[in-house]
Amino acid sequence: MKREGGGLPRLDLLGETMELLLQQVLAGLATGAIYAAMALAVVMIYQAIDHLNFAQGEMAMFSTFLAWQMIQWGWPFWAAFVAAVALSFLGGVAIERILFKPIHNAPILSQIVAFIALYSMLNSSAGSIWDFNIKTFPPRSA
Amino acid sequence: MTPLFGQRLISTHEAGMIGVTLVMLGFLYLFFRGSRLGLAMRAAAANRIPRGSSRPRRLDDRARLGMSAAIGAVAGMLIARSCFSSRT
Repeated sequence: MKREGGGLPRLDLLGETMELLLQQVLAGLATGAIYAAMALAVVMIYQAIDHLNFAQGEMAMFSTFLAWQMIQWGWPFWAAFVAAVALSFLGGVAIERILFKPIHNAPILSQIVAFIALYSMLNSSAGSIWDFNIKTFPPRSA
Repeated sequence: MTPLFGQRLISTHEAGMIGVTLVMLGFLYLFFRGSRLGLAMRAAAANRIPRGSSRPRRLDDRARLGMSAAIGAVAGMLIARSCFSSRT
């Protein structure tokens, strides 16, 4: 950076700092949008069945693996995106039907155990289908 | 990360994350303001209609769980793309 000329290097530095700040703010906003979406999902389940869903993160993970698999099969990203969202909707309906409807009037601890069971089932079945290693998303081959 | 429109402030994917979230919120807003099922779900959540009224609460619960799972899926796919898009 130039020493002589006084203000110019400092102005450059200020500009770079501002750009860095803006970059960080925008990246934070993008990440915050995702947190907001997850919070929204948790709140919606809470409103529906009056309990906190401990398996929410696993449901999101499983859906993401579905999308990963579809992209791996050669589907375009947005087709896989829409298909994964639709499948997740149906999966949520099925979970309500199969797991939460029969225990709707059960004591609260039973419901919590059901959530933990769902967590465990989704985690392990994702592991047995796609193995437990971290995957690149979207897949490299696509 | 590829920059958006050639400038360095925000990557295309980050802009996409914000955009997809905003579109999703817009859809949810319209759903809860405009559609019959959305209004019924809001009323059921606020306990303003008794159970066993014309629209059964269980239908709302199912739709809600499904929508929740779908929102979770969107969040999962977007965050996976920003966290695991390269093997580092």
